[in-house]
Parts: sequence; C-alpha cells; structure tokens
Amino acid sequence: MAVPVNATRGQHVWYWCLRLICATGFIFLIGPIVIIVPISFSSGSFLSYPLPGFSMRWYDAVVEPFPWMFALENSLIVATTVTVVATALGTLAAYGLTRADFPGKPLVFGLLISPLAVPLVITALGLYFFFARIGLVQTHIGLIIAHVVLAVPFVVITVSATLKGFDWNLVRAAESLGAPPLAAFFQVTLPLILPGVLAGAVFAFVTSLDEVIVALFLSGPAQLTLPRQLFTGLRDQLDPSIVAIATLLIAFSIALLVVVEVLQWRSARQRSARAD
Amino acid sequence: MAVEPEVLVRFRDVEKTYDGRVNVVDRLNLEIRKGEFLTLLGPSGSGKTTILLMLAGFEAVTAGDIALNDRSLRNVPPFRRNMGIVFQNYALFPHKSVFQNVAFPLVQRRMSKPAVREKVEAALRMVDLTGLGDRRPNQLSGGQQQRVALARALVFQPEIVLMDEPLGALDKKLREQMQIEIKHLHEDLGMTVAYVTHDQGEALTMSDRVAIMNDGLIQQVGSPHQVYEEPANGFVANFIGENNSFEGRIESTSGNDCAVRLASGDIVRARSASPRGNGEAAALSLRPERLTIDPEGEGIANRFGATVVEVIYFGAHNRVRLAMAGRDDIIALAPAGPRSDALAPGDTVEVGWSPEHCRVLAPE
Amino acid sequence: MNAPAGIADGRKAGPADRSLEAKLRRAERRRSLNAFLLVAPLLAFIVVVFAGPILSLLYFSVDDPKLAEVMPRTAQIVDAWDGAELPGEEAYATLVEEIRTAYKARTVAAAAMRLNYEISGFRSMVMRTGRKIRRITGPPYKEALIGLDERWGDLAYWRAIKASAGPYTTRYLLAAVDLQRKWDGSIGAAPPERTIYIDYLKRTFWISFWVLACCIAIGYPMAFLIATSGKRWSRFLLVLVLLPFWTSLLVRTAAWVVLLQNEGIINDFLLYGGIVDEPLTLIFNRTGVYIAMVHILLPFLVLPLYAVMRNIPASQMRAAASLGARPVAAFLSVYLPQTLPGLGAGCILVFILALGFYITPALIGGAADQMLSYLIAEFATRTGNWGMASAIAILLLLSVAALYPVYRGLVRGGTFRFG
Repeated sequence: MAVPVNATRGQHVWYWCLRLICATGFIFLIGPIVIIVPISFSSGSFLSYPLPGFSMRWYDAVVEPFPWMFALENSLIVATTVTVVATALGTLAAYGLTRADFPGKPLVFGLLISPLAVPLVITALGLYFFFARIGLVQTHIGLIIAHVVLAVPFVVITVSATLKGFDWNLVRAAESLGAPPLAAFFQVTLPLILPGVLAGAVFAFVTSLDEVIVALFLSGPAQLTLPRQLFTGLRDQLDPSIVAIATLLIAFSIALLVVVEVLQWRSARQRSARAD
Repeated sequence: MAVEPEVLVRFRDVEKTYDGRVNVVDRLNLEIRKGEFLTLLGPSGSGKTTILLMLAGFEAVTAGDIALNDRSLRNVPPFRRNMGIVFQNYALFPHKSVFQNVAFPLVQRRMSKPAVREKVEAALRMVDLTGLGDRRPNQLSGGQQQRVALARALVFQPEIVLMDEPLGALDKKLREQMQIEIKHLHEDLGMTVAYVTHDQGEALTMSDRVAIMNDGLIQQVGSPHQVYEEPANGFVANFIGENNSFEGRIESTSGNDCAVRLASGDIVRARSASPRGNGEAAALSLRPERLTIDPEGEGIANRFGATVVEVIYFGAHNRVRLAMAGRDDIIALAPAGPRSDALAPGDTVEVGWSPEHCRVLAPE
Repeated sequence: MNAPAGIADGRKAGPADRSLEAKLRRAERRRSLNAFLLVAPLLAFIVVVFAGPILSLLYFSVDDPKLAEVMPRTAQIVDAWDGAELPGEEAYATLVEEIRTAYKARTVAAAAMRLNYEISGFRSMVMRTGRKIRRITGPPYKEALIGLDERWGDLAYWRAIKASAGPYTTRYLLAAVDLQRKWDGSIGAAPPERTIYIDYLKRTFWISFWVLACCIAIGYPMAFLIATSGKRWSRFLLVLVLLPFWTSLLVRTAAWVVLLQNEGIINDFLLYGGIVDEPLTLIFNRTGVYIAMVHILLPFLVLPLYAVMRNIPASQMRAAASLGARPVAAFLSVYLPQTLPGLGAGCILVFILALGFYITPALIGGAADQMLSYLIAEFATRTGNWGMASAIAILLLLSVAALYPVYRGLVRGGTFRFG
C-alpha cells in the first residue's frame, strides 16, 4: 500500500493509519498461532513466558496411547472415510449440476449446500434424534455420516467452480474419437478437474478433522476425536500437552496450506494455458 | 518574424527510474505547445506511457521537473492538475451510468445540477451518444465506451487531454474512424492533446507533431512530414513506415549531396541532413514508394537493373520484391496499373529513384 | 435447448422438421435426466440424513404428546373443559384412575415432567399423588384427591393440565419469544422469570453485529493492502490470512485461552510494561469472546473482499483522481461501490457463522456471554426439554434464513471462492 505519488499531507497521515491498522490485523491473525508454539517446548507447566527451559516432556504426553493417540486414530479413521465418501458423492453431484439443466436445479444446489448455513448445533441435534431412532448414536458410522453431511457442500462448491471453467468441447472431442461417456469422464474430464477435486477433498478432510459440535452430541467414549479431546481439555484442565497437540496441528495446517496453494496454482496454470 | 508558440507543458531534464539502475525515461526535454496535438510514438517499453503518467501525476519524477504554464507540478496531487485522461482500457466506472460517468468530473467540481445536465448532454451530443445516458458501460460496444471516455475527459474543459493508447482495443475499421473523429474534436475544440501510441499510422494521421521514443530517449521531434521524409536516424526511418536500408561508405560529397558506394560496388547518390566526410560508413534509407519501376524523366540519378522476385497484390498498389545490388529484399510499391499488374517473378526491370528521396543516415 | 428452437425458427416447420425437433427435445430430456441421476445420490443422502432430521427436530416445537399418551382420557376431558371453574367429579375420577395405571406402568414420570413445564413443583406433586394413590378406594374422587394434596383443588393446576393436553402446542414457540398463552387462549407476556429468550436473541445479534463491525474495520484495509501490494508481498500477506483460516478452530481457541488467562501472556506483558497494575480480566467475559470470534471470522471477510478488490484495476482510482475527485470522494464514489459484492458476501458469511457460534463462547465466555446455540444445547442435553430446544432452534434458523437467499445468490454468483 504505497502512498500515492504527489500525495497531500492528509493522504500521508491516512496511509500511515491504514498501515497501522493492517499491521495490527496481521499480527492479530498470526500472533496467537506463533506465540503458543514455543510454549509447547517448555520444561515448566505454566503457560506463559519466560520459558524455564526446553523440554519435549509435553510431546511425550501427547504420544501416550490415551487419550491423544486414541483420539488421533479415531479422527483419522473418521476423516479419511468422510473424505472418500464426500468427494465421490460431491464430485458426482457437481458434475451433474454443471453438465445439463434440469427442473429445480437452483433449489437442488441450494439444498445440497444448505448444511453450510444451518448452525451446527441445530444440525447436531437433528442428527442426534434421527440416529437415536435408528441406533447410530455413539457409533463410528453415525459420526462419519454426520461429517459427510457437513463436508459435502465444500466438495460441491469447489468442484462446481472448477467445472465452470471446463471446456466441454474436450469431452465432445473424446467422444468423437470413440470414447464412451464413462471412459471420457475418467480419461479426460477427471484428470483435468483433479486439482479442484483434490482441493474439495482437502476441505472435506479438514471439515471432519476440525468438527467438534456434532462430535459432542453423537460420539461416545469409543469415538473420542481429537477436537473433542481438545474441547474437554480446554474446558476442564488446561495443560501444556494441549499446546503441544495444538503445535502439531498448526504444523499440519501449514502442510495443508502448501498442498492447497500448489493445487490452486496448478489449476490456475492450466486455465491460463488454455486461455493462451 | 514568426510568433513564438506558447508553451503549455515543459519537461526539463526529466529522468525516471524504477530500480535505480535503468532509466526508463532519460534526459527528457520536451515542450507541449498550447493547442497542439503532440504524439509520443514508440515501441512498447520505450517509456512513452511513463511520460504520460508522470505528467498526470501518477508516477514520481526521479530527476528534473515538469512545469505547466511555467509553474512546477512537483507535489501537485493528480486531482488538482486539471488534466483530462483517456485511459487505455477507458477506466469507465462500471457501477455508474454513462451520464454519471460523464457527470463525475463536474460533480467533483460542485457544479449545480442543471449546469451538470446541460454540459453532460452537450458532451454526449458531441461524441454522438445522445440518448445513451442511462446505459451502463458494459451495455455499450467498444467504440461507444471509447466515446464515453472521451466525453468524460473533455467535459470539464481541462487544460490538456492525455490519451494513452486510447484506440488500442478497437478493431481496425473503428480505429480509423475514431482517429478522424478525435482529430476533428481537436480541431473544433482547440484543446491541447498529448497522445501516446505505438501505431505509426495513427501518429502520422492525427498529430501536429510527433515525438519518437526509443529506450527512454527521444529520437526525433517534428511534424509527421518531417519524421517520415527526413528521419533523423535509422531507428526513426525503420520505425515509421516501410524502409529499404542499404549499407555503404561515402565516396564523395558535394554540400549535402553524397555518393555512397554499396558493398556490391554500386554507387548511389543520396542526400544527407548534415555534412559527412569521405570514407565514413553510412546507412541509406529509401521509402518503397519512392522506388520507381521503369523510371521516366529527368532527375532520377539512381538507375539499376533488378529482377522481380515476388509480386503481392494489394488492390490499390502492388508490393514488388526485387533482387538488386546484391540483395533480394528490396521492396517497391508500384501503383496499380497495366504495367505493374503485368509484373511476374523472374522479369527483369529497371528501377530508379531521385537522390532527394534517399537519405544518408549514421549507421546503427 | 436453444438449438432445436433455433432450427424451428429458422425454417418453415415441415413434418420432417417436427420429428427432428421432437428427437432433439428427447435427447435434451435424456441429458437432463442423466444429469439429475448424477445428483440424485447426494440429494437423497442430504434429504434423508439432513433435511429430514432437521424438519423432524423442528416438529418437536409444536409436538405435545406426553400427557395425552399417558393419560389419554383425562386429556380428552380436560380439553373439552372450559377452564372457568374446577372440573367435575368425572374429571377427578378419570385422573385418579389414570394416575393409578400410569404409576403402576411407571409412565407417570413423563407426564409429570411435562406438567412441570407449566408450573414448577407439579412434577413432585404428581409423583407424590402417585405414591399415595392406593389410599383412594372409591368416590367421591374429588374430595379424596384434594385430601391427598390440596393443590388439586387449585384451578391453576387444572388449567396447567388443560394446557398440556396436546397433541399440539404453541407454548414452546411462544415461550421462545417471551410470550405465553393464558388459560383462556389469549396471548400475553410470559412471567418475568421466564423472559430470558429475547435477551438471548438480542445478545446473539448484538455480539454478531460487533464481531462483524470489527471484522470490517480491520478486514477492509487488510484486503485492500493484499490486493494492491506487489506480487510477492501480496502472496505473503495472503498466506498470513490463510494460515489461521486453515488452522483448527479449537487450536485457535486454545491459543486465545493461553493468551488471555489472568496469568496469561497478554497480562504478563501488560504488567511487565507497567501499563496496568493488576491483571485485566480478559477471559470468561465479553472481551474474550469478541477477540476470539473476530480472530476466527476475520478470514471469511478478508478472502471474498480480496477476490473482488483484485479485479478492480488501478486505473479506476487514477481516472477518479484525474477527473478531480479528492481521495475521500474517489474512495466513496468509485472504489467502495465496486467492492460491495465482495463486502456483502463476506458480511453475510461472517454474520451467519457468528449467529451460530457455540464452542468459542462456551470456552472463552462467561455465563452472560452465551448465545442461542448454547441455549439450544442446554435445553437438549441438560434438561431434556426438546420442545424448547426446538423452538429456539426455529428462532435461530429464522434469523439465518432471513439472510440465506442473499448468501446463496452471492455464492452462486461466484463472488466468493474458498481459499
């Protein structure tokens, strides 16, 4: 935000104010995440600076089988399954939504992404009641189904956006060269929209991995997930092992961020290559 | 004694650099006279747009000074410079109607509503857009958008109008039509125009004076006729119009008339703008339309035998590629007619040109 | 769809053309059907496990079967009773009999629970009556019952039974907006000890509004900075926004708990710097909730705003300046209006998400900082009052739904892209 050339004094002052606001904003966003990382390596048990010394003791607590590793395992099982199911269902639906018009399409699209807009507590309660009736409360399956509901809108939106820029002539070309529709989809369409599909999958994975409200209502002790354990820890007893697990999760977010950036960069490059 | 033209804008030793090493604009000394149509012409990256941006106040001047009416523009913010600008992509405000776009500068000047209405309507009439005031810019064709941009830049009667490749986005036919219209507007309204383009045809058609830029330096400033007929150097000769270029050495001189020996041994008589010494290396510039096939009459001191390599039909003329003087890339433009239409590859012809149309330039 | 119409328009429609037209239309229909079939699995899934359950949850807000299930005949008699004065012997006799049966069948507790929503203390009164019901052996039941507990002779308790007679009720929906239906059917203000729900609603909107206001105040300049910086800077700054966006909500909440505690880093810093003498209370109050919520929602405002700002060419502001607009005027009349689609999308997103917040207020807020979501969860899990939970859910959903059409339009318009 360079001050414009030949700016008046007022403009100079104003731009400095803006810079100050922006600096505050960025520090506010990133500061808390950065500040808690060193605490996880503290040898003391106070969550504050200065750190008494360096130690890995809180990470030792994290790798104990219970509760963190158990919760992590559950979270990964649920999130992986959710990712596969949501990506498959969502991609299929997004493909149908962009391939042709049918009556009521806007309504269908609205319905498919409505889980994004309904407050999570309401979704959680509705699912709780439904699952209580059919015996899915406190089961892995129940939790997975619930998370698919929450994750699938992200896949639909991301893949639809990718397909919007897709050149359908490529499919016509494939079909004119003798490929049946299914082969055309798997050999032409899917590879080209893969970055979008993968980005959707990452969203689905993160949605499930980070979900706590539905998990609070639906899961029993056997389905303890990482966010649930974090929630319990934060509510009942705050100790540095929570900061240690938080640090690990931050590292994981950075990895995800890199993955998504690379995917978006690749799909952007593909788009611009086509534009040329 | 001729009246000294009144100077509106004066660039004095202006330099501009973005990285501290390369000067995008170097040692710029240029005057824009009141009421004239001055075009900055040059290839992309030659610094012409930067000059316009500095004049408008959007880019800082690294060294030197720009003065408007002999008052320095240093630290004058753009919104107080009172210059109308037509941007490359028009920069029409997409959320405002055509009327609101054109009214914008008047509203900023706190003009009364009836006055605004009157002036905007006059401006729209001037650019033939009467009745389109309620449209949004994206509902207009490219040419119409161009006219809105023009109306908006003119409606507040700025001291000078800056145009940055304003016709670049239009197709050829529309572009030529707009060139004429802008020229007429300039003549009718008598405003000063600084115009940036890389299209030499545009520059020649519209301008009172053309400043040719390359690598941040002004190569030549002069009337369209001057820069075309008397290019100051090889760059100008090649950049404006088509050019046949010969390399050689000065054999003998007589005043500004020179005899130049080409590598093939042929002697060409040509004219130089400045005195030259014998033995100097020289580049000759000859416009294709000055090269006559089967020349008749006196004064055509240069006559050579040539072989036709290729003839391309252009309707009003034929473009003939010739092999002569050890070269096979010499171009002649022959007016359509029984003689030139009958030319075919392999024909042997005589070609010629008079010395006054052949310029001696410093070799590049 | 355009192609067949175009052909039909272009030529005179002979019989051959008509059959072609029909053929094309059939092909088009087949394409539509195929497309729909691809969407169908997900649509079915969402309808069955999302839309259906939510609707049936909302049904609880009017559903009132408990009393009628346990004491069907009493419910019937009381329903027909006008409520003006104590009911007759028949009602008492039926009630005694049905309490006797229900007590034996151990179903009386459910009905007693329902009655307790009307008058607190009613539950224990019914249960005690149930325990002692053996003592009543014959008519007159009215005196016998009043003998067991004199409150059976109180008109208010009978009116409570009438209000609970079901099978549908408006009491939960009315209570959710601090109203109640009187015994004679008129609607009036609920007693003061129960008028807390409008406060929750107001507080939910109030908190969401201020969170949104802070997000705009910080987020707009940030998005502007990212959109107008050079390529490298802009990428770097974008990462600073995206990293929190991708970081687990609980991790960010944990970070704020660590920072905001009384012995936390912020207080240490303030004390060390001599800015304050005593630690500030930053957690378990409104300040903490605002800070954490703004932190979580800020990226949702910045990202769509940035997406729009990126596409506004620099020449727009230059044009405004060249035409004589002073900076403030240029911003207000040229820049701001062009960012409105992104700003609108971001605002609606932030506001909708804020309205439904649960975790952050629960962990960082105090009792006075809880929002509607908390109330819903409390009613459902702690007191098992599904009717109330459902009615408040409707209140919250209506708040969101008022914004939903705008949100959908903006998402579909492609103004907002994730990431």
